[in-house]
Amino acid sequence: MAPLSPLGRALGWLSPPARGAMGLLWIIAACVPSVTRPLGLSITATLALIGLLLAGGSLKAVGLRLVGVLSFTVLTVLGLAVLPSQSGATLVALPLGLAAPAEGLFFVLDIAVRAALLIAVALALGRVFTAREFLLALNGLPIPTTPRCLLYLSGLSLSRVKADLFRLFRARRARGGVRGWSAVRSSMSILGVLIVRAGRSAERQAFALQARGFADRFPTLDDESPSLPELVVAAVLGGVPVWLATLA
Amino acid sequence: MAGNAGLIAAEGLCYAFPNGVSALDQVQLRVHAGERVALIGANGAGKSTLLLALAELLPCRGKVRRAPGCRVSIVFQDPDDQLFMPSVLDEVAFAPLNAGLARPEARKQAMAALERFGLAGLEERHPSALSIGQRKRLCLAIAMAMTPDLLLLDEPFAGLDPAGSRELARWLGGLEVAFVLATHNLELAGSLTERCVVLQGGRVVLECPTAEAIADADRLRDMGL
Repeated sequence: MAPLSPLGRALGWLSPPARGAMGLLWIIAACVPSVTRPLGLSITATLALIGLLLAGGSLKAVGLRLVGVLSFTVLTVLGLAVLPSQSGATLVALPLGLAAPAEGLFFVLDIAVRAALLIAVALALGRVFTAREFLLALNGLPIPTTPRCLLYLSGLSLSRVKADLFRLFRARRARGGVRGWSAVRSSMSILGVLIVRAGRSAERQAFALQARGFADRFPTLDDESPSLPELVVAAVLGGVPVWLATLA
Repeated sequence: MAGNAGLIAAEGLCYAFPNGVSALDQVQLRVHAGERVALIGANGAGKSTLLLALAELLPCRGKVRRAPGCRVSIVFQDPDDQLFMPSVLDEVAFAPLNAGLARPEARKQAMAALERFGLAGLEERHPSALSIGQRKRLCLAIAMAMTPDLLLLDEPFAGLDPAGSRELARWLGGLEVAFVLATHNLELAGSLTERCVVLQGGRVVLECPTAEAIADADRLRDMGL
């Protein structure tokens, strides 16, 4: 995980579980906005942008992660335009003489907007916690054991998979690199290798967990419980964005 | 299992990978309290699989019998496979805490293990920020914090330079517990263990004093070593 950002330092006085609760509310706030509620959407987008910049995250990082969201949006809109729509549906004109049902378009755009906001919030939150604080936050929140362990292990695996991905791409460059269609094909095979490696690594980690007496928890030597004032502040800092996101 | 029966005994262990390739074939092995055994074999001979079987992490045919109360710890070849906590101290305290030890005792035990393996002062560091040699020692500290009677070491010298290997061997030499050391490093195996078991194709093909096995270079070469 990235070192603490100005936002992380500003929130540092809140215990990790309190910050975790606030982060959960931010994630909810990113899921609420809709293109049909422009005020809530623009406020949430502005807040997400400010949070991201305060967290030291870059717009480029968001942009890179938006490639998948954009591809999904374009493909789905194309699908809506090509597939026959329900009789009586309001159609919206699209470029190239195409048309798609308004209801479907709003649905797709809502998903795309929420995905983009979630990416920005996730990037900002990633810079609000150190790795240890992330675990302390998970341990201090009232989350069922299995999702808690899965969340922690997923966070752990992500950084490993990312490191593996960089190594594989470096190896491809070292062999002269590829362009065009070959790059797509080789990226697919890299993805396959990554999946196989991640599976093997997960198996070895499972052995290690078992060997070390894993009992459905990742205990730390100093779990922190949030105080009531901290919880109130976290509820306000997290709840206000949720409320703002619902404004029409 | 008492006295002569040993600390741990593998009887007729068999294991095949999901693709049908046999990894262990009727393996017999016995380790006594305080004994140090080298497990030698070429790549793919079944050393790691045997260690996993002895740690009862793999469902094998055959039996693994442990003396009553015998605790077994395993150190994997790649330290990154067994490091998953966000700080060095939490790593070492993980097993004691999971075993139900109270936090003050777990901290005390973890600190003692870190000090013993020259890692004092690194408690707050993220394990991934340690050097490979330090990570290997951290894995040893983790295993020893579980106060085992038997330690299973899977290629602990892999990835270390000669100086790093010698240093790790020095730490291993200071252990008071029995261990099974899977390694390709015959020189260090000779200095650390009294008895060696040679695996080939998942079968035990030689069991003798380590010095005797090392002296028979032609035989070892025939075994792919």
